[in-house]
Amino acid sequence: MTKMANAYQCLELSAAPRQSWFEKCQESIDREHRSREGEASEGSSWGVPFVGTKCLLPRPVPDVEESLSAALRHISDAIEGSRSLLQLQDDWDEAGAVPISKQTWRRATEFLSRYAGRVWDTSGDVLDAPDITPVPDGSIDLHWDSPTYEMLINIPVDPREAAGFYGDDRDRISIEGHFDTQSVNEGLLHWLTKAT
Amino acid sequence: MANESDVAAWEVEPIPDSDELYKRVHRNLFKPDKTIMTGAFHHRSMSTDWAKYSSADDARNRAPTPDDNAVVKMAVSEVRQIQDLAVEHSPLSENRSHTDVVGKKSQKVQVLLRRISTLVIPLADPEA
Repeated sequence: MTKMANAYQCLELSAAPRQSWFEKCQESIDREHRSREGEASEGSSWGVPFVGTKCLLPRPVPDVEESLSAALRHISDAIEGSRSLLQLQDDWDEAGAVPISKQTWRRATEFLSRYAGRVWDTSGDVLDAPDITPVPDGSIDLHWDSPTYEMLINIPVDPREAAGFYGDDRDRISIEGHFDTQSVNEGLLHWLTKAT
Repeated sequence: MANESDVAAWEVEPIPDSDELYKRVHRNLFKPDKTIMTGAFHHRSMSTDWAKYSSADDARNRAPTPDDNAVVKMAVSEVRQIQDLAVEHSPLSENRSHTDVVGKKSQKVQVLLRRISTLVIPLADPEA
């Protein structure tokens, strides 16, 4: 994720359809996980696609790609910072809290990447970075707490369980419900887009 | 939450709306900006201490490691205004003030509980 600023693109790929930020981010997370799990990392580093010997000199990506990477760096920074959740031990709240599993953290961060990318792709807006925080039952909260709105999304431990969310504008408008983290909830996406 | 075996001879009393509750919050449930995480309010039966029988210091000192805990207070009336929550006195043999805030802690409920909580004893400086 820290390589987002080093975005380059091979000349041969410049005519290819633009890969969305989400897809690139997802790819980066997948690669990083494989790498951390001891598997060989394939291809080149993120943002520097490797196309055999045909990849000549890299050139800077178009301005829009650079601005996209820079604009969403705060999201990748938040994800990177949340790795500390994986260090929490048994009973980390002195009241029986369970550790945060790598699987739950991965689902939470992949979800965040996907939605940040979709908000950008659909509206050109930049999603605020949430606080990524642990919950004593081993789940993870994504919490946006701004002066004009608040949104809480809980990514549960069980991947089969729906994620719960609640948000409001600190006044009369609110949204609440559950959704499958593997798909995109259009209502939630719309709300997050409006909130940016 | 109190087990049946923990229930002491203390009489269970009705708690007036005008009273307050204290709740400990562990250091690991604070964000870097020193605000409380929503996860501090997720337990279906959330243990608190009724201010009639406990000070904020008492509440903090009942923690295994008091220095790793802060204390917030909540007005009983505001807790009861949150949908589906009940405030139930559930005294323990060693803690007459013990009170449960009962009810499903949906994301909405956690957000609202966090909003009505006021920090009364901040975290101790770990370097002190």
